[in-house]
Amino acid sequence: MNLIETRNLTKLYGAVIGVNDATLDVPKGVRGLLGPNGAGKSTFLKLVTGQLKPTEGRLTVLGERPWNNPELFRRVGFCPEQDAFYGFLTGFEFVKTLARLSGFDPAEAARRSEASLARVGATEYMHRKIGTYSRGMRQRTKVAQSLVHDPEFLILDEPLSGTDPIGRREMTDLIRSLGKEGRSILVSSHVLHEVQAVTEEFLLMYGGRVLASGNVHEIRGLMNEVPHRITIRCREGRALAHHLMRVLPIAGIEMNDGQGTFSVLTHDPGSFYAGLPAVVAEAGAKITEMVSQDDNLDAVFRYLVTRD
Amino acid sequence: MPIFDVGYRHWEGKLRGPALRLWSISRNGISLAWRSMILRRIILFGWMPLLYFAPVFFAIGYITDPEREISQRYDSGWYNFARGIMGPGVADRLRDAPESVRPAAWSLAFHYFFSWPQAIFTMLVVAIVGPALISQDVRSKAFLLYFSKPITLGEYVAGKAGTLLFFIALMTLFPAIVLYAVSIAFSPSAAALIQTSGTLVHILCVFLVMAVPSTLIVLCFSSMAKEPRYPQFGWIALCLFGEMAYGLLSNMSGVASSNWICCLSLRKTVSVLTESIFDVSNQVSALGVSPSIQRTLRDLDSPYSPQLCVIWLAAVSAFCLMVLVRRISAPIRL
Repeated sequence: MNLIETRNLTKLYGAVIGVNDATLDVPKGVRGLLGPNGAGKSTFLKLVTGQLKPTEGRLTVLGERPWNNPELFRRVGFCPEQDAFYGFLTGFEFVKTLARLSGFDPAEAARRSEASLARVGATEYMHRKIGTYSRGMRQRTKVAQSLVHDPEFLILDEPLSGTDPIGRREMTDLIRSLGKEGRSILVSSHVLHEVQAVTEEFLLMYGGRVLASGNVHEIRGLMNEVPHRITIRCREGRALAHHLMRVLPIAGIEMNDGQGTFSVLTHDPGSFYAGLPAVVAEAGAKITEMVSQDDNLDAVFRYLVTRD
Repeated sequence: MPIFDVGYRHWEGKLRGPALRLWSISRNGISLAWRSMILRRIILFGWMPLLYFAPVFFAIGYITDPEREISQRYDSGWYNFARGIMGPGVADRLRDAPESVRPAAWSLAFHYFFSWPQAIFTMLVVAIVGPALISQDVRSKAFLLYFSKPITLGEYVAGKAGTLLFFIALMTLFPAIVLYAVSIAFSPSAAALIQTSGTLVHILCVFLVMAVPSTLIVLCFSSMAKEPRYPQFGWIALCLFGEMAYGLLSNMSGVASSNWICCLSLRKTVSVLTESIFDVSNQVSALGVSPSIQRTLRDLDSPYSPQLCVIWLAAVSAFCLMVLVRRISAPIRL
């Protein structure tokens, strides 16, 4: 059973399209949902969390339709982007209240709330009023409430926004560990490296459409018409570039600066990497840094949204 | 060495039913509303009428006590007072069979209790508590969290309504029960308990008549705005202008006798039904009170039909419920 299945899923707000004819199967696991603002991510999440009814098409989450199906949400946890809080409650009371909405008795709800808040590192301030929390504290508390009923599928909408670098690292580790426990997680973000720190599997949305779904490397591999860009830094930059042009399958070379840094464009990165050591040895060059600039989400995203 | 499964395992324990989930929602609303100093003061003032009504009930119990010496009934000032004010019919009953006056007197007192002081305090409490209940969820997008939990739309509405029903009960049901209990406790004889055994049911009915339409109307208003002040204004305007329109039309010849004008005022509509529930009109008429005194006493010289009031309140409630469900089910989640 797939995590999410859609068939011609469409959501219209009057004449405005939120999600446009999306057909996809998302397997279980940790996935990123990426796209710029206005891409349709929020609409897609609202459809997945049963907040909106599809205008057309079919959508199932864990094999069940989410619209008007509260029972599904015993298995799904949702952390919204917005601060949907009552500031007069403490973090503990807030999480406990939501645990009780999931049907746990007061004692079990309290036990789970404490455990959940401890897991996100919010124990220290959980008995303070939410109104006094910083953005990062609020974010952790929201994630805690989404975990409190031990869901099988976790939906996190911009979970890292507002967190400091340490908090960001801790949150990333938390999401990874939740994924390792066997939970399926959908992390929405418009910041590519945030998602990439958590998973390499993603859905990319743009203009209400799902542009791509899968592993970042697989998708990159499909984009053969666009050459891969590999940046090399070495002292003998010009000489090495000359040798590379002569021996390896290269579409072009861009000299980036006078310090010996240059970018190689190639349609066949496999052959390039295989032949590179011999060429470097022949040129007598010493590479100090080599980065595949395209093998990341940023490049995939750039490619997919501008390839008209 | 065994290898343990540390992966995700679904909760297999027993979960509580929807009633406790509703209470969680209601309790949040109660906690939020209780923070208002104005509300706490109004609630305090809302219990003040008991200081007036409790002695009234005690007096009723005293003068309608059949155990009192018959000479006291003749000699006491009550007889002359009753004869002069209420008419000879009532005075004779107080002398010959005083306990027969008690049910009518209690009904009349409860009718006044609900129709004026408690109705006004209830409207004030509803104006303070109700408008924020849904509108603040719309503004803070808290409904995203509510509906990401396994609760239905009906449970959400019922939970929100629970908050309002609690405060309305605090203004109507609970003081009326206390009043009843105090009256029974201070009645000179146990006969009062037997004679007024149906009063608790009547009190409950009046509470429902007051609470259900008010709750649905204000929740409907609340669901239509992000700022609580707009539904608050709407509710106050409804109560105030309705009362003014009713007051104006009920004094205009030609229109005053129309049985629909009470529907303009929510308070009056509820009052007509309260009168009907306590059967005040028939009981007071049976005492033989002169018509002029009846008018003064009961404020009931009206052609208003309880049936029409029921239909009107049911229609308004149904319409508000429909709008409320419509608002919550999708558009506010955009």
